[in-house]
Amino acid sequence: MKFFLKFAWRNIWRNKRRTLITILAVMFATSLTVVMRGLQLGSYAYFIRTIAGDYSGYIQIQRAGYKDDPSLRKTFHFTEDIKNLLDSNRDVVAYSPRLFANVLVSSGENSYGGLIYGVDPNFEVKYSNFHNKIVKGKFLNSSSSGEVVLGYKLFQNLRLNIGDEVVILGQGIDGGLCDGKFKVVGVVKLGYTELDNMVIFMGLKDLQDFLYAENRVSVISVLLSDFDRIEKVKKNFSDILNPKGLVVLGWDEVMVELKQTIDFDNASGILFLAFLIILVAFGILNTVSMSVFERFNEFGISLAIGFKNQKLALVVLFEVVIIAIIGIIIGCFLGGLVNYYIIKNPIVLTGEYASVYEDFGFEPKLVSSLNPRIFVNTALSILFISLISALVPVYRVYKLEPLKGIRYT
Amino acid sequence: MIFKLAWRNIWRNKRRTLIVVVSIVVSVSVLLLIDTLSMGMMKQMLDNQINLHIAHIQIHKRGFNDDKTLKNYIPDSEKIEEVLRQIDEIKFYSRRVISYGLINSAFNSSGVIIVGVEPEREKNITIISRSIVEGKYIGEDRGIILGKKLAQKLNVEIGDKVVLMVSDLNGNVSSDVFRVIGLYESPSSEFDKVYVYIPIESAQQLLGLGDKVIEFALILKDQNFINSVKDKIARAIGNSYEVLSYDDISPLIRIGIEMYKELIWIYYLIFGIAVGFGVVNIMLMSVFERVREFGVLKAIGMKNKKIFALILLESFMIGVVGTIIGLVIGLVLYLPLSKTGVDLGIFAESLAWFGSGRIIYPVLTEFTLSLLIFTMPFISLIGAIYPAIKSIKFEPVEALKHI
Repeated sequence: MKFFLKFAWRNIWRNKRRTLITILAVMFATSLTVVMRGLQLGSYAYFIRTIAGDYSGYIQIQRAGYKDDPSLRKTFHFTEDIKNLLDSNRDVVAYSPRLFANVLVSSGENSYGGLIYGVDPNFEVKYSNFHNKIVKGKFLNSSSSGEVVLGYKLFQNLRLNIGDEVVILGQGIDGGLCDGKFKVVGVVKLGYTELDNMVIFMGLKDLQDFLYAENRVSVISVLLSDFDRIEKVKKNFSDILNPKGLVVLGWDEVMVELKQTIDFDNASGILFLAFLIILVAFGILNTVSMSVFERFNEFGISLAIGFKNQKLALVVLFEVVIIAIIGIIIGCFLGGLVNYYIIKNPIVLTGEYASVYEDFGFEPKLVSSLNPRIFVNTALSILFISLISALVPVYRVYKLEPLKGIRYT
Repeated sequence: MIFKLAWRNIWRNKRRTLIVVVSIVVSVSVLLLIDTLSMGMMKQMLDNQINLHIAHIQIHKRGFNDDKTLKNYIPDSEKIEEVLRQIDEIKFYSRRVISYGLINSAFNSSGVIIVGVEPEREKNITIISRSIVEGKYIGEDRGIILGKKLAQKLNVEIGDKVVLMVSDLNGNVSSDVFRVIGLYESPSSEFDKVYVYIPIESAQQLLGLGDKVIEFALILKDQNFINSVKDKIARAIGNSYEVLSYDDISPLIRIGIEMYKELIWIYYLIFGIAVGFGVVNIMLMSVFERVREFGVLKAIGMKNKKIFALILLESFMIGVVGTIIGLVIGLVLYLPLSKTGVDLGIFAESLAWFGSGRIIYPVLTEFTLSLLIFTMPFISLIGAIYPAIKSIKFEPVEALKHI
């Protein structure tokens, strides 16, 4: 075996320039794949972490049927049992009970549709980052009563100042109309155009009183220590909560659009890289076949003096593997360096381009990843395709007859 | 002569040249499909935005776009209609009343944008009338149509009653009962959740607007007229109104397309480099195989310049042949797809979120076509420079002795 490796190693350096160019091509494909996959997977994880972290939670507790009919009638009581369950699970980092309501909010003659996030400041501050996104005034605190915090666009549209009152009009749990006056104490910029246009944060207790929905919540968003805990905790909670008419959903079930957008982007990225690798495989095919046909004379003589076809084929195969592996190792290293640099210095988009991202609720920031999966998958797929591209020349060597080889010109 | 020489040279080793040609063919046809599909998706997002609501041009009282309050109504719509009727490039126009409001069913409520439209005229402006999936289009008094998504949220069906609640022109809360007569489903799920349609008279009554309207929406005979018509109207109706194109109102998708155009060449470059390695490799091989030949050519008086040009030409020809075949194959795949569209149903929810619809019709633009035509021949030229330099470095006598 060692002999064949040595044999193959010497063979590939007989034409240095050709081998180097092929190695460069493999290296190029590898490092590019590592960088692009890093950007994709890194950004997905980042989007999920920030979006799920603030909004849906890694998992979410709802009443059965709420997903299709998100009305007040499908809210549930936030009982001590549920609280104990959440507090006692060690994978739960934080959680936030929330009650949502669509309302009309007006000030003077201006009125706009609003979406109230009824949140308990004690839970919310530990859970989300909303309180860090205040641009004016302050966020709600545990002593807040009759106070609201508005999305900055809504705040602008209503032409308000901090301390002004707004009138909120909604529909209570019994279907009757309810209205009330609230004092605006803060303005928040979430960076998600749709919500900045309509969000109103209100104390959970205030909202429950306003809607006559005592102790009721729409959802409980739960933050876990890591993504890979989702399945375990979901199962665990479902066993306990399902009999009570509640369901536990993952972020991907709550935010189907986000999940599909990621899948869509992921699929198109993989498709592009697959074609790139195939292009490089053509280069390998060319190098290997050239080097094989050049050596038909030599192979013919080797066969004539008793070398076995299988062994010659094995040597050629080793040559391909060596070229591919050298390219892959250097490529992974270079790609890894780039990814490391991007992790340390994330790319932040600015100006007009940033607004495109914000419109869909993504932070305009690109981060990367050094997930080992990226390197393993890249290396394996490039090695695999290289081997496939070498099949034809290797087969020709395997079928070579000594005399045909010697006479080959 | 040099053309013939180059052409014959590249086919001396058929297998080698073919492999490189195939790699160019694959990259050209794949790039053609990827690029036209992405372009098509963005064009659809843009078109849907225009056809769903915005139209080509909107006219409001100055300031409405920044502050969508009822106070900014159009005081004399007859004067504007007079102007619009005299401009030939305008195909259709329609008057609208728009207000934020709250919609309540017996089960749930939701913030909405209420659009009061002239049912017959609006048919020519937007695709809402053609997007009805249940029931019928508005026409009768107190009928309302909602997006199917919104109806699901409100838990209402055709024939059910809903209450619209707004604050009227004087700032008082006003509400009215409407009967759901139709449900629509547009390519954009976000849109469907928010926009509801009632006849313009009902809206004026609900909002206390009398016979005033808020907005004119215009469709032109050709999109290219937008800027000239915009200026023409603005001059005719004066400074107390704002005349806005779809791009002024919602520039995001246009920015997205610009961003895409600015970045797409990177993809071409990546494929180009991958192909380029192959080109460099085979050109080097073929140069080193022919060292003796170059020696002979030089010995009989061929100039270095010509040999240099010969190598570049050979490589360029490979690039051109590959590009032509690649374009043909790409177009053969593209043409039927551009008619039938590509159904990306598995990503339906995501595409509805983007507002493109689930069936994507690829679009081939001149921009894409020129990138496709020039990338690979250009890369082939660049890739041949190093081998060409090598080819003229030999001394004739040395080269003749080369084995």
